[in-house]
Amino acid sequence: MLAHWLVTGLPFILLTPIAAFSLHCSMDEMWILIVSLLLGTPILSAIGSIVVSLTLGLREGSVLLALLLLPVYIPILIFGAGVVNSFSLGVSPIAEFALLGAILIGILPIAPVASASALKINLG
Amino acid sequence: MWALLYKLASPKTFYQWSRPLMYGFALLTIVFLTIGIFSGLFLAPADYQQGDAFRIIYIHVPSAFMSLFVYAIMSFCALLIVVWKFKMADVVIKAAAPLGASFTLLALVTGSIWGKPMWGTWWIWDARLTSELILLFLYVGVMALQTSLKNKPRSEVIVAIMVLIGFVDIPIVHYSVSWWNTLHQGATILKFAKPSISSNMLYPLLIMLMAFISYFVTMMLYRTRTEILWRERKSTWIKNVLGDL
Amino acid sequence: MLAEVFSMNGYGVYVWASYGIAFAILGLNVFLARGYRKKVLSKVILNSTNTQD
Repeated sequence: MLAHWLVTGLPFILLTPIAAFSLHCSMDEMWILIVSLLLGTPILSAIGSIVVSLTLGLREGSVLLALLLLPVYIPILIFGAGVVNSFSLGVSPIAEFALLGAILIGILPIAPVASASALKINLG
Repeated sequence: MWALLYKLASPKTFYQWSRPLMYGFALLTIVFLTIGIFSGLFLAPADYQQGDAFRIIYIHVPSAFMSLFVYAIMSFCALLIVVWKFKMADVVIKAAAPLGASFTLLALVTGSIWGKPMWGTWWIWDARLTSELILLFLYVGVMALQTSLKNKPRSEVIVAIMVLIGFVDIPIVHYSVSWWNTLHQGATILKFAKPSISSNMLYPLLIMLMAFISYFVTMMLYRTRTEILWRERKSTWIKNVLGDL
Repeated sequence: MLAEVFSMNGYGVYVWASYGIAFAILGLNVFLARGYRKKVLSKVILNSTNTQD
């Protein structure tokens, strides 16, 4: 899971400044964006790891994976996008940060346990 | 007390006592539905802002409430499976998912029909509407997962984990109207202090809510009984039950 | 008089459509559940008669 985040989440965050400058974001907005990505991408990796282990070994696995991931990813993406949105509107994005942080703290200890038990059932 | 609960929850005793209960709730559904629809459509006064279009509320709000309520029940059952390995809870999840999906779809469709004359649009990507749509996908996802896991041992744990992950969406749906101030109006009933709705409009709504709850209980009992019939098809008590028919 | 009640001051289409769809969806659930139960019942009965033979 950590490895997955290192190869997908981290490069994305490192690329953020380039994307931000090409989209004419201000310096402050870029830092806010980076923090929101730091909080958000590990959540995506953690949820992804659970759902993938749930559908592993099933015939319709890939379609099912998309169907199951879509509803659980969208709220995270909305919160992440909401951070920059409310910041650029002049509202403090602390509420979105708190929510993302809470979800992250909640999902991190659960994800390995849940993935492990799902893997055990699907493969064992 | 626990011994009694275990006895009541065993498939065989459940199958016996659920039958009269199911007919009772079916009767309640018909009574509440008749009174609720009649008073909602004809007795309640028209809203001073929305005119007669507000009468959609008597379908929309109960089904939206049920869409959350059913998922909460499913999550509770998922917890029972994961923590206590409770066998019957899986049957309940299986029976509840299509009902929850129906209520969610109904809430979305009636909301859309209500939105057209009031907001001038069928759909907007507002927080409440979007999160309710996500809820529909969750229900469909759980149902699809159950279908493809059919006949696999310990599949109930996998479904339970998926239900629990999806539970994150429930508080988002519920609080979306207060977190984001968008087109969808705020809560009118679940403010315990003083509902911001007049009483002769409220009573039909509460009756409709009771009707939807009784409908849900009736259908749950019916579907659960079918599911038990199928899972216990090799046991001797099922053969005795069928012999009576 | 009656037509007035049914037109709902111009909102009739929306109101009646909502109630109609509600009945359709709730009714469909009953219909599908009954169909499924009948299928299960016939299978279970077939199963029990087979094992007795």
